[in-house]
Amino acid sequence: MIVKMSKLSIAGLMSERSAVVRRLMKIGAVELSEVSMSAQERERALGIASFDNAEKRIADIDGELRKIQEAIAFLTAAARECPSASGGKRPSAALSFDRFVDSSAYAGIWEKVFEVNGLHKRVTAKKTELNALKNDAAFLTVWENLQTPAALAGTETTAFLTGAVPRGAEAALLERLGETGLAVADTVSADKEQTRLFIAFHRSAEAAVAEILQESGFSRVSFGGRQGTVAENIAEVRGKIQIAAREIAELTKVSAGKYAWLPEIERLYDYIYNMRERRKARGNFLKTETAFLVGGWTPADCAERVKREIEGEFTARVAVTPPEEGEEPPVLLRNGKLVYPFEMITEMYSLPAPGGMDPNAAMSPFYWLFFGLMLSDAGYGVLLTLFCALALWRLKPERGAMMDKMLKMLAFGGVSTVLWGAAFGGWFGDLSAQVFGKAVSPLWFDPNSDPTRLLIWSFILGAVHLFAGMGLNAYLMIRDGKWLDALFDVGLWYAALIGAAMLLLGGKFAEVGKYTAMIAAAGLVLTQGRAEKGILKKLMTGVLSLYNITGYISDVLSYSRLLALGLATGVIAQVINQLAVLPGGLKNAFTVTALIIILLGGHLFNLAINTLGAYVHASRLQYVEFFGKFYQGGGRAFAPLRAKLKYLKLQ
Amino acid sequence: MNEVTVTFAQIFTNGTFLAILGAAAAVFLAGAGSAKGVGIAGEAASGLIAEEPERFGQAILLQALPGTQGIYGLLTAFMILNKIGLLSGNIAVSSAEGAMLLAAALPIAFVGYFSAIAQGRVSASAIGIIAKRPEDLAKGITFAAMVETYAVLALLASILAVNGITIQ
Repeated sequence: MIVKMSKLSIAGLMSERSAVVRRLMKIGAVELSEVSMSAQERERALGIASFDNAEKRIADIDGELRKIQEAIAFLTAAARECPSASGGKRPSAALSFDRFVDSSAYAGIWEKVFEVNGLHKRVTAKKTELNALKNDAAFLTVWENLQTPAALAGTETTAFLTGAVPRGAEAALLERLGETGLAVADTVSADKEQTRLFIAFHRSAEAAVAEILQESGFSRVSFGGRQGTVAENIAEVRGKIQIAAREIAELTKVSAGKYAWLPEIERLYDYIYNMRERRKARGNFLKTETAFLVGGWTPADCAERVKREIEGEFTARVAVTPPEEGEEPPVLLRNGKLVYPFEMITEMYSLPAPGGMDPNAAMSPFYWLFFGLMLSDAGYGVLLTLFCALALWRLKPERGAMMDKMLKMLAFGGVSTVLWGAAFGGWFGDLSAQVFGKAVSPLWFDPNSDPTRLLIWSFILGAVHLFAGMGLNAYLMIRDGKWLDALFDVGLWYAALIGAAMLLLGGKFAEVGKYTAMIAAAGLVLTQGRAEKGILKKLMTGVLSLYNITGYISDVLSYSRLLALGLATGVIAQVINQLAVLPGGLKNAFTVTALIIILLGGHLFNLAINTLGAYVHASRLQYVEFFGKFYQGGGRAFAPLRAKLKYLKLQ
Repeated sequence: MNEVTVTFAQIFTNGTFLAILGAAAAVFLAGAGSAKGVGIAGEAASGLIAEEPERFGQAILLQALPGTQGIYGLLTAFMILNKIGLLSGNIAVSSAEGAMLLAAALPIAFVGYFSAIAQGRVSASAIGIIAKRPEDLAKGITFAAMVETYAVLALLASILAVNGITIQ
């Protein structure tokens, strides 16, 4: 059912604006918008009043939110690294709304955020330092065997050089240096790319040595003014690494010690986030120095309460009016416990147009049936329902949230799956027959041995679904007073299709069906061109409309997927069972273990892939075959101003 | 050792061989198509995840869609192998029966191959939809499911054909 909406306009004092917005957020049932006015009125209004420009402030708030998130992420990571110091997470107590929006409740929390972010900065700086030290250590380690002090460039008469040549070039280099008679070289270390050398030569041979070195691809390495030997330097750097690592550990421990602040900081996040929401809503306020005027939408049954609460508490006037002609109120759906999870399917397609019809009540039984028929294994149905029930119990999603609807829908779908699976004798495929040698007999029939029978039932279910869709179309036309259109566009097609079906089935009704179909076809030829001008065009369009029969046939054929996907689940389950008993079945502990592992992995995979398939194809049958017959989407979702909480729970 | 020579003609008129050829074709054609389709969708998905990692759940859903053809192929293969008793070790299939089973495998083999690739492309562009409008995931899924219809129909034709063939 589409909830009836009322239009609000609220006029009040600027001095009370923040309080009014807070109160509207507490009520949580009003979507604020600019007050509706004509272009002329708007121009006049803007002469004496203006709209808030909240963008700058919202950008600032976004910056604040990022800072808080940084603190939350850092504290969480620190507590994970150092669980003993964190003392575990303290649950935050549920808060009343008034307390939640009271800024004085957040005194001192920003300081904590800054302190945490300060710690974060220090840890980051230390980690950068640590990385640099590690790089130094890696560089120095390969020179560890160099005996001379790193900074020593030679003596009065000899010069020292350190550097590397590409691997393979060192033999020729050593030989040529030896030939000069004035140079010696020593290999310090080598890996698969480079050989590192220490070279000492007499200063008189400098030019000759330089030439040899250049020709062999020698690149000098310097130690940047380090004192002492390389080994001493390595020891020093390692010492520094230890210190830095210890400091990081200490800082992390200190940070983890602040973990107790997390609930407060998270509370601040929610507070600031909802402040942002209110700021955004303020953009709709037309304001002067002293007064404001704002429009909005609220469900008609909440309107009186909103009016009473706002007028009772503030110096304000609230006018409640029904939507005007041509105005499109936002759409809110309200359905019973069993139907409402299926709203998700419609929402993913498109919300109904404000004047349209909520298809969920009609759609959900079919979705439920088709989903179960396509998954069609009682064992899987039980598992799916249990999983979803467990998830609902553990996660406790907010009512109306996507997660809530999806889990409930799948849980219902699981029940349908159990029913169909029991009808077809599928309990994890033929698990019982394979493992225990005893088949579970189907309550109805086994589609594996008689697929044609299920195919026919699929077409029958499909035809019922399509007729329901057409019927809803007729209902919509009759509701709008166009009952002749309903008779021509739906009634005649009903007659033609039912007649054709009776003809095809044969038997004693074949004759009746033949004439029904012929009369209906003649009716279609005469009526379907009624929008055209000129008798010839009317007739042509009428004749051509009969071609739509192919559309109906392909629509019905499309429901063969009910059989195909149902069989797919069962056959894959059988494959898994056969694989599982291959090692030997219940022979010994080893084969039983193999059996269990293969069964668990295989059936979970099959359940996942076929649940996806059943969901996708059950949706498709609604979107294309069912909605295509009557549904008009395009509605805009009702988005009331309300507290959106990531961490907190409100009382 | 006695060498038994088998001519090509003998192999290709062997009913068991023809039936296994059908099963193999169903698996490798439909499977190759799915591999390609899932690959195409996966590339697009990775591109999106690099920018918006939180869309992973939606992207993996779209990537999985072209994977079903490979499963349909396996399913048909399994039905054929079951039919000829290969899995229970009881094989006696005439040439005509083998040829019929091979023919029965063709719909899902070919339609599976082409539809999986086409569906992979649609899924990839649907990932483009959720990059901009994550709330329109269902529309993207529906576009991809439109393609899959033909794989489902082909699977159905193959299943009905395999089921209808009686082995003496």
